[in-house]
Amino acid sequence: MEIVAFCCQWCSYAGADLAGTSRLKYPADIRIIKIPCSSRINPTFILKALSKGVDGVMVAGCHPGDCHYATGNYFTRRRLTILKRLLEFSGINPERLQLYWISAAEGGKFAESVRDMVSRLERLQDKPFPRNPGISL
Amino acid sequence: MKNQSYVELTNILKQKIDRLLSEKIVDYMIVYEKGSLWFKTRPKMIRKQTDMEKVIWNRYCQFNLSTFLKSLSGKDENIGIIAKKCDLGSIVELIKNNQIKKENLYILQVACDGVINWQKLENLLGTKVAKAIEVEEDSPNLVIKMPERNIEVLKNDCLPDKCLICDFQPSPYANDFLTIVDEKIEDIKEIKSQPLPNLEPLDNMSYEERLGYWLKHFSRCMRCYACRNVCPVCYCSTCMFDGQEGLWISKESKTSDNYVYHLTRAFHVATLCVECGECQRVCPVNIPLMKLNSKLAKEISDTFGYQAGLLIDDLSPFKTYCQEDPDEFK
Ligand code: SF4
Ligand code: SF4
Ligand code: SF4
Ligand code: FES
Repeated sequence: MEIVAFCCQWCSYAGADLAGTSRLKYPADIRIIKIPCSSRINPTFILKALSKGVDGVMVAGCHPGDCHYATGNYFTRRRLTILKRLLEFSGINPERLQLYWISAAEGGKFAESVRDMVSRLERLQDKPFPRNPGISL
Repeated sequence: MKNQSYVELTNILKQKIDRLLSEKIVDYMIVYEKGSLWFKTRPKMIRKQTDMEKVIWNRYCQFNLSTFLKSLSGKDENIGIIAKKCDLGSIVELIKNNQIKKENLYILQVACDGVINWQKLENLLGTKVAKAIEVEEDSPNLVIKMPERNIEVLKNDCLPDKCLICDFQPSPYANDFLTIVDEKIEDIKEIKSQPLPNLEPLDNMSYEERLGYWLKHFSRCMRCYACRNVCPVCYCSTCMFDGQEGLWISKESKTSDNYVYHLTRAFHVATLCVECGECQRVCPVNIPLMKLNSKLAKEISDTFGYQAGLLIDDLSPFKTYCQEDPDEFK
């Protein structure tokens, strides 16, 4: 399974670091990309990853109220709520996109979130975006 | 509206523009002029009163002139623009998003009771509209005068979707509203108001079928970007899909990249789109883009109770937040 994880540098990325230094086990299916804040996410990042055929995209940011830029994650929450509806409408199961709130002290929650993402994706019946969508589709 | 009413309205319009230019209320005016064929129109910017005879107003003025305001923002000139009721929505969005200053703009709204989408008319006729000589209105029908005979079609069948839900009323943001007494305008109001094309066929599909539906359409897209360029509210001066460096998607028209382009485009204008239908109208390969736009508009209105293009003082839901927003995440 392939999951792309966009983690905000102040909380979730630090949380992932903590999960590593605490030697917590979590599925090795994720590729982490560090972003300054969860609100740095442009829908294109997510769409591009999905269109390459990855199974899921997870976005992780500070807990609502704890964003290091004060309010960034409130905006992320609004945008991704709508983006999920758009994905659903255009034929991608919205479960393939998840947003998690993980603080720098929550190494355990980080590992837990990755497990959650993997188990959600394993349950899906539909296929991810085809690797080579031909004209004949 | 009868042909005669259009002629009279055009005359009133010319007088008005003449005054606006001579009194220097505006530096130039964005208007419609006659296009390459009798049922086509094109945009024109006039600065001199001698250009006045080019100004027209008829039922073929379908496109939205406000898309030209995008590239004019930042210049310190007063611009006059002819607008239909539906065009006011995108002008409101441009003002709201600081693309143009209200005080630099003179909005001249002209009475409109529906514009003809000539592609729809052509489909109904089964022959080129160019073969016809003239169209006259005989409410609720249009009479198409062909060389041999007259063909009658229901006017509503030739209108773009937006006209079916339009109220024709003057907008509070228009500086002036030009109208004429025409009993036909009243007639049409009663028989219109059909619901917009719904999204149900897609709602009932499985994810695979839906993805297949869209990829089939997107595979035809040649990324001419006409849908982006024509959109009155797609106003970034540098688009993330242009330029040589740091390409997000390839220049080649690959179906998967087209998917990224289309969903991004729809999402970027999600809170701005006034559902004018221009993007879909200009697409040379008939991709049903309005389905994406309407879906997003519906989700935004359901979730945040917001509708684009209504009030200048409304705040876009993506520019604000609320601590109590729905949170489906963990
Ligand atoms: S939507 Fe209304 S104002 Fe716009 S073209 Fe149709 S009838 Fe005219
Ligand atoms: S106008 Fe049509 S073909 Fe051109 S980029 Fe848009 S969807 Fe693709
Ligand atoms: S309908 Fe299309 S052209 Fe019109 S505002 Fe919406 S996205 Fe832009
Ligand atoms: S800095 Fe972490 S979400 Fe904004």
